[in-house]
Amino acid sequence: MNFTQPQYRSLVRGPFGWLLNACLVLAVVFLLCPIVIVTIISFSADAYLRFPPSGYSFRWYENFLSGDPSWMAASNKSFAAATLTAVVTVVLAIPTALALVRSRIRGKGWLELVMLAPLLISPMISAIALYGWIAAFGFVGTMAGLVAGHIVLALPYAILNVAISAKALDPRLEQAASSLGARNSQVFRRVTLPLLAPGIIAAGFFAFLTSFDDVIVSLFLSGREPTLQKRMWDEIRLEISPTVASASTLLIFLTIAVFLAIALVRRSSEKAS
Amino acid sequence: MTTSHVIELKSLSKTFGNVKAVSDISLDVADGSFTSFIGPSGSGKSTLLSMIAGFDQPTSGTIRLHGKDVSKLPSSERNIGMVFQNYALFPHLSVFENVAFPLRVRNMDARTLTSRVHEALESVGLKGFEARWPKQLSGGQQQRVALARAFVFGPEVLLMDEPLGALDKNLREHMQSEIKALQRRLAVSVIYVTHDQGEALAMSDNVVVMSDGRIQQVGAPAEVYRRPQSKFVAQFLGETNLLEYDLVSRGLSGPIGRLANGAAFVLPDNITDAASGTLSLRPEEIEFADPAESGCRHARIEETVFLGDCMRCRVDYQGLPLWVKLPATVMRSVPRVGQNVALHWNEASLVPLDD
Ligand SMILES: Nc1ncnc2c1ncn2[C@@H]1O[C@H](COP(=O)(O)OP(=O)(O)OP(=O)(O)O)[C@@H](O)[C@H]1O
Ligand SMILES: [Mg+2]
Repeated sequence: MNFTQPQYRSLVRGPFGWLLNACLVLAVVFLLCPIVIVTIISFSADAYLRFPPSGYSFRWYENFLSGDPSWMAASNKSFAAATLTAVVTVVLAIPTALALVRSRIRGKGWLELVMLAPLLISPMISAIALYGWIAAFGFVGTMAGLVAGHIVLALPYAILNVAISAKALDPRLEQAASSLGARNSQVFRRVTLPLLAPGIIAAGFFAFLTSFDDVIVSLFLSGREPTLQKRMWDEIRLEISPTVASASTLLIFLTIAVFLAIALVRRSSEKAS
Repeated sequence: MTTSHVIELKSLSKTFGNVKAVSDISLDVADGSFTSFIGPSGSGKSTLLSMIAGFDQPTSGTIRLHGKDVSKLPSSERNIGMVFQNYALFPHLSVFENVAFPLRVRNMDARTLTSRVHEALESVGLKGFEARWPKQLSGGQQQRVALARAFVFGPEVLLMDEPLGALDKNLREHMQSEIKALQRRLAVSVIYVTHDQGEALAMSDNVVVMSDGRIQQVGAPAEVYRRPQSKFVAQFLGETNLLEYDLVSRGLSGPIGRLANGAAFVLPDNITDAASGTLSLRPEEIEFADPAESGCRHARIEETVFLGDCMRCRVDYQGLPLWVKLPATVMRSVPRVGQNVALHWNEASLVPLDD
């Protein structure tokens, strides 16, 4: 008899089993409902947001993709910002995480906490603080300013991800590599980097999404040419056309695709090591 | 300057904070020899190896490799092969790529590289395992890959830090003879760390006994075992009886000593003039004689421990407890608890010790 084997086919049993099951079902419905509704509305034929739609069409997808050029411009800006954010964040996160994990300074616990503190602070507060700095240097409305703002949001999480991989990396592997004749740069490229890869890839994806999904910092910093999220925000405030729903649906499926990709990378790297 | 020493350590010390992990070690290791460092946990064996490999910088002292001072060289430029206790195989590389690693970082051409890797894997009995991942190998197989990886690039010396510590007893003994055979075939110098004394005695040309970061004694296994210089070495390598004696006189037939139980006996000639001292007497050097014989030492068996190929008996030698180790041949007839026996030993087997 194997008692630890989960019974996949039945829900929770026991005296309060029905209650637990009901909560589970409600939670799933609650989480999925908005996605389902938005997806349905995105195929609406109506001229404004309404549920359920009176008819169905691709007109709002067409509008998003080719009708109103400001949507694609916003999308391109978001992609560029997110890609830059991901690259710069990862490049900063790798040495920072390694230093954080390997250093033996006193007060390291505090330093780690400070690094991760932005995770606990409301993005609105970060955005206001950033605005002051970025305005002072005259970077408001520039790509550099926007990316800098997104990096601040993304970096703590990226450091966390890389640090998890770095902690699991046995320093003896690097010692072995160098005793086998690898110079420091070769050790880094052939051993350290590949072994940090799962953390680095996750950090990159999360940084990308952080930038891509951000509204608040973009509200302050994106200037006259909005990011996609900012463009959606403007749309909701001013026009309320179902284009927002189409854009959202595309974003949702993009996000799901990214998360699947992360999961696949994780799994294949676990298999190898 | 010609030198037949692969490694020369001069006044080597390493301090961590206020812990002296290694203090003032000087040692020459003969080229092509198999040298074992043995000592209790925390005696500085790994620290010493780390300094030779270049992972740790010595606090003071120098390390020479074939006469060349390498103390300041990074690990990658020392040309030393290292085998770790946990194997330290690269998990993201196949068996082939693990062994190829030292050749790739040296930019060896593909053809030579492939044949060298195959050759190395064949010599550790892992032909056909090239495409496997380290995770898919048993402990013994991983150890062989680590070994192949450490010698494939022709290092000047192989360092091994408790390479067999994680293996079970049978496999360990098997690997011992394989490593030994490989070392002879490659004619490479090996520095081996272990805290298994049997392993050190079985494999080595030279044994270095360490404690508290210092060398206690260096010598061939048989010599260190038979002629320990200190109580520590006598007790650490094998089992022994320590006999405290007072020097009674320096008679014509040699110096005479008296044990705590009052028994007098002839001491070995080479003892010091100190009024008292300690002797080591290995349990296997004591024999049971016929109690009827004259002038023998009477004792009573207090305890017997069956060990398979031999038996250990604790005897009461007129108030002095002694351990006696008997081979299986004697064992069948003799020892029973409570039995009176006579003890016999050769004067030459009494080894005077420093404290
Ligand atoms: N990085 C370090 N920082 C501080 N102390 C250390 C460090 N490395 C080793 N030591 C100390 O140095 C001493 C010698 O350690 P070492 O690892 O060399 O012993 P060892 O002989 O290899 O022991 P074992 O048989 O347990 O492997 C120990 O007291 C240890 O605590
Ligand atoms: Mg050790």
